[in-house]
Amino acid sequence: MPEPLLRLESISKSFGSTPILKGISLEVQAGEFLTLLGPSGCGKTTTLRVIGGFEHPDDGRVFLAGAEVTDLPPYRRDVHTVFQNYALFPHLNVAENVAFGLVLRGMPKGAADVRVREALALVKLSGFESRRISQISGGQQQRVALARALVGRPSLLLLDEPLGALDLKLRKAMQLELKAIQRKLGLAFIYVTHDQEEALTMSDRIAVFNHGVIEQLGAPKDIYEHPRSSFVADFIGAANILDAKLTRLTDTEAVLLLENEVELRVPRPKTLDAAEGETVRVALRPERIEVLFSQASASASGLTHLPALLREAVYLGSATQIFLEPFKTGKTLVATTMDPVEKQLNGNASGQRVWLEIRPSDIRILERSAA
Amino acid sequence: MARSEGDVAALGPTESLSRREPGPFDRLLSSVLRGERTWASHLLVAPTSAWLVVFLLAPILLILIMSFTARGPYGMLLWRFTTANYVRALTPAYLPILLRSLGYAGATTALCLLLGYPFAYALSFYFEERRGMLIILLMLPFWTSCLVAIYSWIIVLGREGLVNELLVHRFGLLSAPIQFLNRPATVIGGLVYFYLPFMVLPLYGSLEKVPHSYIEAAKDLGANPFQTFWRVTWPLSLPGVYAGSILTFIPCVGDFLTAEFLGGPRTYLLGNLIQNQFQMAQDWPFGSAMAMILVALLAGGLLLYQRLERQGVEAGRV
Repeated sequence: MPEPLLRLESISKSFGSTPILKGISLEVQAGEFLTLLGPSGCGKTTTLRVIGGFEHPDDGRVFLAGAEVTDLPPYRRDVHTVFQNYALFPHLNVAENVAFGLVLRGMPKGAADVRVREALALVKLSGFESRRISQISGGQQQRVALARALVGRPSLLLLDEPLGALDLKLRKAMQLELKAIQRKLGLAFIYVTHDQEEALTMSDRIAVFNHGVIEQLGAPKDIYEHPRSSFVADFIGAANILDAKLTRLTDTEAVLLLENEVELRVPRPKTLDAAEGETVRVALRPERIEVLFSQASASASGLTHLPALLREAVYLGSATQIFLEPFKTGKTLVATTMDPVEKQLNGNASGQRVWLEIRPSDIRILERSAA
Repeated sequence: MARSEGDVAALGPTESLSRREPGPFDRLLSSVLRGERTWASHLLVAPTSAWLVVFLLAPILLILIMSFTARGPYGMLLWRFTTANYVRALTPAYLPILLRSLGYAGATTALCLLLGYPFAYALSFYFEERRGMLIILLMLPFWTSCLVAIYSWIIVLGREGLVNELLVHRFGLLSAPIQFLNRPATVIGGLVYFYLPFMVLPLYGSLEKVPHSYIEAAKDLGANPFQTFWRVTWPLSLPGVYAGSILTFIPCVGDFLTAEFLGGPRTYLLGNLIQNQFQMAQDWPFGSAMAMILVALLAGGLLLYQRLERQGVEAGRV
């Protein structure tokens, strides 16, 4: 295993008496796109600032390409940051902003000009060299900030919610463009966002942060398909989180009693820290629930059918969200379907009797229930 | 846009708010809030305008008129038009006084900038919690009468003053007292003492507005603390440097109290010259001409600055 580009060793940081990071350890390989994902206040931005050198950790160490940089100031680290508000210098024009780092290094003007032009071409801003920062749009400012961080050819780029201020359409376009630039240059990106869709779209790996710890670290598909906690299941995509009693546990199988009512046999997960008789949380993705409007013949394909009351159907354009009550406890499940269902809903849908079709292997066992 | 009664009712619970027909006062208020210039908005600036006309414009006009009259034998005004006062004011005899005034004002401004910038910088970036108290300390000399302050300086710096008393008699470090008063350095020191807040407050105003993220961005791009200051903080604080320099320089050029009390013949300034024409020499026309030349000089300088600044804004520099 080669020395990783970045290594964080149990980083802790408190502001006053509030712990923000509680022992973050992380490795980033060269050329990797890692996203730090989590709600606001979870510590993802602080982690980025520790890597950039803007915060000194109370405890733990930071290594860049094998060398410890924990005590080095930002200007002595080979990483650059794209700031959330871009932080472009208003007294300099576009080209002067991009050239800022090169001029500091004493690069001759001719060489610097060539590099600036290349960087601006990369972010599709050729011809904007002499514009003032106040004269360009938010999306263009974002590109200038990216060019300014890229022009010095750092091995690692830190991006702090760089697309947060852009409108949805521009954000989607920039996501793909950023990813393309990252691949083309073979740079490692550490990308902070609270937008799970953005994280899924762009990342090689995602680190899900919650309350100063990394809840789960893995590839987007892995995190989406196999969330390890109800926090991760709920934060990445939508999830129905239910309580279930582990009534029996064998080497290959777990028998669950959902909401004290419905018995299901599911494959035993690889990691499970609950014992027989304990109550666990389980997750079921809305798109994995099929809604049937007439009772299906009992199929032999291992599918489970549950009768339910339909509570509400919400039209979302490309999909329809259906709220269902399959349990006596009145717990509501959400199902999402791409099929046109208006006809079957007969106008006033509430109270209609329907059936849910669930594949037991789609049920994910999460952590032990606190209750 | 007219709305029928039925539409308003359809709006539900908020209808009672819009039920009342807007009266003339509502319309007036909303026009002011929209930023339209109506007679009401003129009314808002009327008291200040009236004050400025009566107590600033009128006296300046009076002085302008007086500057073209002649002095009678016993100091009274002779109401006949003459340009003799200006001819006399522009003779080489008075040039050294004008240059000295400009020089003292320039030195004071430079010293205020040198002393004030670090203070304003620390205030903006390091002493967030104690900011209020530090600003109060800075403003403290303003709260006493400026005459009291100046007499205190005489008590401290005079020949028999506190400093000499300590140095010569108490500690015996010197055999003879140092002469502080009637020296250019002391007058300039006094001017710095009085005008420092005029420099610090605009500096603080512009430094405080420099976002911390700019400084972090500079460091991120490889700038050490000195380079960060020189390439980011300093250029962004230039509006405050200009404003503070103007606010210090202009009153300094016309100042006469400091030189009157802390100085002497060697530090005779334009302000003293003008004041003497109105008091001892009883030559109001000549004093008026001198005053008008000073006003013209400063107003010209200000206009030039504004013009440069506007060009800067158009080029996007500021």
